[in-house]
Amino acid sequence: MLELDFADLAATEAFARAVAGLVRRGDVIGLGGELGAGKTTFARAFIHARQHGPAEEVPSPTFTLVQTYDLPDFAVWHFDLYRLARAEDALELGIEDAFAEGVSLIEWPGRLGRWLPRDRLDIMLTQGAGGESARHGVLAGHGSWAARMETLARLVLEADA
Amino acid sequence: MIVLGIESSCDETAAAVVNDQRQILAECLHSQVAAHEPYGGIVPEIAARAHLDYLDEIVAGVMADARLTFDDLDGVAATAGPGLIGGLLVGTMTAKAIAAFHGLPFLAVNHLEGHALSFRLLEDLDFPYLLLLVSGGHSQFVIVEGVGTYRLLGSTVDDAVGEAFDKTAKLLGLGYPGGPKIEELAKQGNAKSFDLPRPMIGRKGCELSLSGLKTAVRQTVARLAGDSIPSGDLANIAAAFQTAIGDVLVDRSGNAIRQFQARYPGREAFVIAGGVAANQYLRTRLSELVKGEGMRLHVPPQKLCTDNGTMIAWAGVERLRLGLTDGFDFAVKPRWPLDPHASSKGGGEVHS
Repeated sequence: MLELDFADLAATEAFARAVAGLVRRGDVIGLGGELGAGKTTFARAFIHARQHGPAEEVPSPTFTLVQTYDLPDFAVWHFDLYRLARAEDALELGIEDAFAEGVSLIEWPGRLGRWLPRDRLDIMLTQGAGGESARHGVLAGHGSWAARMETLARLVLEADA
Repeated sequence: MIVLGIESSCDETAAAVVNDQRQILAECLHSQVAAHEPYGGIVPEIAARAHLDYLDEIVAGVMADARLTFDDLDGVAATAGPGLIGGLLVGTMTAKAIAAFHGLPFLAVNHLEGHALSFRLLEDLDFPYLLLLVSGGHSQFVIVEGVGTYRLLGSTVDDAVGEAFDKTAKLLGLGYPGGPKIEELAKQGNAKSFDLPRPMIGRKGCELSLSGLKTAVRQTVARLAGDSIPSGDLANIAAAFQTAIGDVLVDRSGNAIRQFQARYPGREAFVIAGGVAANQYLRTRLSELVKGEGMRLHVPPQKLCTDNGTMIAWAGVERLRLGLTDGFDFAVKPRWPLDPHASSKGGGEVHS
């Protein structure tokens, strides 16, 4: 487990870019935290980091539950499962394709129940001390991510520097 | 000219039959929202299955209500995007099947175009006009230059206005949908009791950003939270939130109007569409602004502002009149901007 403090919005975005630099096809990242914690902000910076060319719009996926982005290295599936009532409904959103071939960013991952992949990185964002835009992040790597946490910690430190 | 229209891009399953004399011959809508209000903001049955369960019956129902057979139609329209892919597939496949079997043209309608053209079903409104489309999934300023010709001036870079209402309602422990609940509660509140941010105000362009406002509401609620927040404070937060949204929309709309007037001097129509248009407070605020800028405000009635099949049928009429039909190989588009030329960052200076 890794705990990080982000002083402001820019620091949270730098952290998202660092994580984006580490992911590969098939990765799943669960984004926890309450409304307004910064989950979509993280996802936006993450997606922008893997884009070439001008920044594509990354709207909130709350209404449509999922937005997909065909990026140069892989497709990013940005899920917001806030409105999902039954875990099995997610199957119709294409989670199997996403987990197999894309990179998945999942807001409200708990809604997936048993469909949530074991092999994943969980990022929990909460209000940080010191300023309204400060955030505290708790990272937990499961499965293959356990071995990647050290690299992640180093990348985050570099991004911070 | 008679067109059947089908809408199934999100939570509503709907169909309608409309003719080119602006008559609604029949319309029917099944919403999954009301049935699930007790769940507080979560709308189950997002799956295509739900649309599948209702659509055949709804289509048969509107045809019967209109006292028509499929052979009386001149075209079949369906929402082909943007939206959830499953629902879009159900709607377009149904429309294509009817069109193919009866030898009729198929029309793939952009859901946003349905909203954009909806006021023309009510009265003869000439192009171009300025449109503010505000709903749970979309918030954007568009110049409607003609059928199929839309110029994006700016949109939200994060949360849609309706989404901000829903999420704020959730934070305040109110029910779903959030818009009406907040509007009602705000009437008893004092907007000045809480200081909330007005993102983007004073900046050039017409982009919106509401994520920060939502976060500020959360932080305000968190500061107050003991066991429970006094209802007076809830009303005050609701009022402060709604006023902040009003201030932002007035500021952004002012910029949009100036851009519109610079491009089309003398044109004066400002249309608001989408579910948020039902909010009386916001309508009043925008009405004052629009009058002051020498423009006229047009707002379709609520049932035409929220998602519905009628606007899709009407957009089908508009497209069919111009021969803008689509092949049966038309693939649905879960993401489908109205203005394909707009740069993603919008900001109002997108075209020259």
